[in-house]
Amino acid sequence: MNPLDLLNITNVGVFVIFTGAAGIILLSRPLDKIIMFSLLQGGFVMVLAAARYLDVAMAAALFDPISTIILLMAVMRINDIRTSRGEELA
Amino acid sequence: MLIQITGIIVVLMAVRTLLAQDRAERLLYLNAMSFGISAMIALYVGTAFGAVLAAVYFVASTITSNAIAHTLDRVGEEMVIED
Amino acid sequence: MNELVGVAAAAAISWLNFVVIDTWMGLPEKPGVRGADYIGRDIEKRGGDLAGGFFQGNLVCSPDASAGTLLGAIGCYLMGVPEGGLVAALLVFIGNRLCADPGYAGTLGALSITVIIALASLAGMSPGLFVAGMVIAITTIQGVSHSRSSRLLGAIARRMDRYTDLK
Repeated sequence: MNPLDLLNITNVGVFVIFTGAAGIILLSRPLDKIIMFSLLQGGFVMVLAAARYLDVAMAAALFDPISTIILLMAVMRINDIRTSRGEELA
Repeated sequence: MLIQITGIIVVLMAVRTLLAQDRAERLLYLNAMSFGISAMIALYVGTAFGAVLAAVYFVASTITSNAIAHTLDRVGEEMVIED
Repeated sequence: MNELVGVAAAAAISWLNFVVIDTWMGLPEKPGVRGADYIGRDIEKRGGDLAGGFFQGNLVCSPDASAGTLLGAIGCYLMGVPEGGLVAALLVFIGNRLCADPGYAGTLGALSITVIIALASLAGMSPGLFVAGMVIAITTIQGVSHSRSSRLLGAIARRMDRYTDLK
């Protein structure tokens, strides 16, 4: 079954990374981009595990979500500031 | 065989996340994909450290999804400045 | 072909395991955190059931019996049948404390799937089948059609007398 042989962990990881990157480029709202960034992090950990860099994969699995949480705090803060200033959307 | 079954599920969920219309729908597909990624890591790395890595990745992705859902509830519709 | 039948059976068993334990621990009754409330109401807006929506929101936002079942199966597959399940139960317990969740659904799910895998290995099913089976089970709930699966979960919640009172 030749097409099923393409489904190893490296290929699936690379596909998920490309899907996440396409989402970040094509979607327009910031929170959608952050959801796609989370997809990219998952693909990245898979590719690291496939290359047998397991300690690097552990560090990536621990630190990438912390960066996502900091990005989300930034989105919340900017939205609060814009709402309180009553800015007009151009 | 097992890695291929989980691989199909991860690929399908990733494509559905990209093409979904609604944001909570995206979060649910992302969560299903994280289950699949944890399982693939554990099945590929056949040692005990693979189990620890899968568990750490899974708990971290749950915390991320929780944070994204909390922010979605708090922010609603973001104000974006067009330039 | 034999392995596909085994994966399907393992999927059905793990589906029942985590749905029954989660419904019994009260997941459809109320959202645990704010994000679960958002997801639940969004599913209701798109044609689903509110208790089923709260169940799915709680599945996303905190480690519950689905996490316990998956990690218990992974532990048993990689570290041997009783020891791996106990290590996985400990990791899920630590994860629950990190999310400030006082419930014990995850730990209970990990321990029960360890018992089920120990019994199933007498029938010849290896623990690896339960890992793939659990991924298939969670995909049938969260990956196919949210409105239909939330209505099924709401019906199960009503049957076990755990339906939500919120509107």
